[in-house]
Amino acid sequence: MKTLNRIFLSVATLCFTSFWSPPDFAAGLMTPTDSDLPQLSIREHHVDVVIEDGYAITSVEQVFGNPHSVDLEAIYSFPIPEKAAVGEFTFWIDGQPVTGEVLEKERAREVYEAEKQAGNESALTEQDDYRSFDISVYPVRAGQDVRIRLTYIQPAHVDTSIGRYVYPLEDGGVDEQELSFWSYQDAVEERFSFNLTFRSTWPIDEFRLPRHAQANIQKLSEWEWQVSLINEAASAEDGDGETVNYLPSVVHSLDQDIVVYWRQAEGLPGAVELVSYREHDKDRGTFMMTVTPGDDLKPITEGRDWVFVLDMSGSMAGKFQSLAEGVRRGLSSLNANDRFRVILFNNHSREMTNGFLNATPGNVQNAIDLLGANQPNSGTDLYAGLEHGMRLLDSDRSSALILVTDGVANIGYTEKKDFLALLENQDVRLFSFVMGNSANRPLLESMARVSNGFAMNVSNSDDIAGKLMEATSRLTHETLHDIDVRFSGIKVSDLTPERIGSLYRGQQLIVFGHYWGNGEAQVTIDGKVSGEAKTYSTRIDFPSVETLHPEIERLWGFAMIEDLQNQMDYFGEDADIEQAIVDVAIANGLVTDYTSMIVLPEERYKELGINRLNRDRIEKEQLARQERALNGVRDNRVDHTQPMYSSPRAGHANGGGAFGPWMFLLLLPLLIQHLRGRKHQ
Amino acid sequence: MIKRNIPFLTLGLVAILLGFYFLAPDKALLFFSPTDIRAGEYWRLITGHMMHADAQHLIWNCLGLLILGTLIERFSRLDWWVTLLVGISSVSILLLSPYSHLDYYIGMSGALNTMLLMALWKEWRQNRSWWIVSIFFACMAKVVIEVNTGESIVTNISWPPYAWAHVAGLLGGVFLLCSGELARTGTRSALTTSC
Repeated sequence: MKTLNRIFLSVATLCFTSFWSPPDFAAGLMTPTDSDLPQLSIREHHVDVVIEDGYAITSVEQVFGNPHSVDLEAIYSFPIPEKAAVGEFTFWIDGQPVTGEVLEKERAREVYEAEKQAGNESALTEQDDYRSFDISVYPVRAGQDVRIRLTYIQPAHVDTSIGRYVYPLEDGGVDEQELSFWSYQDAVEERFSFNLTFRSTWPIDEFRLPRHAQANIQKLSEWEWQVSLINEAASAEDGDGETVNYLPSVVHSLDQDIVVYWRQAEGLPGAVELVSYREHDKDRGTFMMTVTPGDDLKPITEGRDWVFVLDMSGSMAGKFQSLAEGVRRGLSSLNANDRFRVILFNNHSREMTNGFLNATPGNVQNAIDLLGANQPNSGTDLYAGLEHGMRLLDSDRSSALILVTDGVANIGYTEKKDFLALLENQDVRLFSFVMGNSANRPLLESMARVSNGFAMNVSNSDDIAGKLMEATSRLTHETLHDIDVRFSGIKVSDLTPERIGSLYRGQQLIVFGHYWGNGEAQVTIDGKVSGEAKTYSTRIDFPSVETLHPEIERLWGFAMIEDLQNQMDYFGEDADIEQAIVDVAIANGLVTDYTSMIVLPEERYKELGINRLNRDRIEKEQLARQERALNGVRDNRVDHTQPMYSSPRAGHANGGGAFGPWMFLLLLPLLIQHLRGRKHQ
Repeated sequence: MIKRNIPFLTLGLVAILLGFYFLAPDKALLFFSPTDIRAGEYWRLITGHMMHADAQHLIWNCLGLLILGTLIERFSRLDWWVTLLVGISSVSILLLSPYSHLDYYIGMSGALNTMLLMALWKEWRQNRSWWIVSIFFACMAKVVIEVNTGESIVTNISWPPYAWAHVAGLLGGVFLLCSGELARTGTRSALTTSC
């Protein structure tokens, strides 16, 4: 346990400190396709986030100015937030907001190019693999502004009673070609605002924005909080409702992720929550079940072999000294009966340690010295690094790979299926620390799932101590493996994720699905802890009508597409699965690798025979959001009568105490009394 | 007997608290963590009490230490050391016992409560003022409220409050005063008998 604590302390330290220096690149900006022209200016940037009922809805509205004397086509690009389903893109045409429709990717591109050729206004949102969402807009009129709005939905997880939301703004800086592309002004010239509204079934102790101390955090009640970051000009307008004359000054730079944490009250029970959506006249409903387990996993005491697999590609150059320091601390704190290896990789992999070494002070010091003599450079052959790390594993000892990377696999084997096959052949857990917004998150997450490990995302703006506690908490306790979720008493189908794998201490289990009929159903979760079978069950009620959460359908669609994509990762390209992804994406209005979102003037939709399915869905969602705001906080817990867990949920259980101003006021008379007494003497 | 010396010990300890807060490169290695202490990281038994979560936490504890530490140190430097050690030990025993569920603890306030009791006792013996009694009851009321509500009064630090550490510190103070009185009574009886 000591070893685990120390190693993950060091790795978390490494992750944070290794890219602690101020980031150079920002994301979420608009640039002319003609690279000879300078970028468009960002005049306004407004972010509205609502987190309630287990998911977050983020709306980003931006105004860009074209300072040039010619009309041009521009591209707006932003990093893909974690598990984000983009379902709404709005482009203002002739001063009116027009929402987009999802089509197959090729067809959407054809329509956009044809409209552009004809000189018509149009916009196209495409997904560039795991890297970014790219939005092409034409035309951006000379000397005029462009206004766009983008909305995405993502599940809002809580881990060990701490919730985390990230608004990603930093570009990871891992692609050499992109570095030049992104190296431009990233400042909002006029108005910036970030508003977050939070409503929770569970009482919240505190909110925290570690890198934005200027944020205004308001506690409306234990269950309802508001956070805002607004520049002065925007505040003035909000206050008196009058137009403000803005000066062209820099008010906010889009170069730092906004990370928001919230901490649930201590001692809350393990629980099951259900959020569903079913219209009046529909047989089928959609649900999201969130299971927060009770804290019943025991601490682990056995020792392990540790293999550090470290990314030494060129993108790590500015982070190397800190990386070396982090590894030094990790190695220095191993027990003498632990063993370690260190593998470095860039264009190829190489071992620094010549097989497993006992963690004696001499071996550790040698390894530290050797690491310091290396310099990061070249590309990223991730496969070679992992493959090398898996050699010489001893089947008699527990082994774990700690992968630290900020990049993508761009040399050697780069296909996901090759990585998955590599991990499936070995009995080793992979714990990945994914640094920044440009890493190949889908690949790293899939690998972690196959190995029953985990991938932890780390932002520059995260709290080091917090991420340490999260990693340590997971790795110092037993894990619930081979999880299976069953429903009886009601017809339930299309469950996703198809394979749940493992749950670490503090993690929530989130399952989406469809249901038919209504009434009470038995839900059972089976799994294994250290080889022993474990079963948890309760009875929950599925409603006949529930219209407050239409977004659940998009979230189900997104999760289902992830499952289908995982199937293709295992079995290779498959036309049927691709078609299934397209069907789910179009039905739920989602941008994917196979579908894009096109925005056209209203009349052109009709002329081109494009149904306004997404517009109708968006209207429904907006109405539901208004209704939810009026209703306030809801209790989504469904296992009140028969709790699934008898123990409270896991928490970091940390504490401190301060004397505080109250005590200081009490002590002052004591001091005065003392001084008077002294004088009297 | 009150001395007029500069309270070097108190000022030194305040400097150490500031040093830990501003200079420690990896604070998480210094938190009081029962699991890590049992695994051999014994320095956490001391450093955990010297760490602070944020500026507010640090400032209030340093101010409390400056007042209480100075008062005790002016009476006796030996008492200062004994009180600090008993305070830290009392809180540590609680945190290592099955009654505490905490994974991590930081802060000086538990040990400060031992110092509080010692300072009040010394002032009482010196002045016999009703002020001392009032302060004592007000402090006890604060601790009782914190234990019952689970929240700190007025203070809002970034870690959850753990009022039981204050109770442990007070119990340490009670132990210290009782054992001090017993020792003194014993000495007095021995002297009387020998006379």
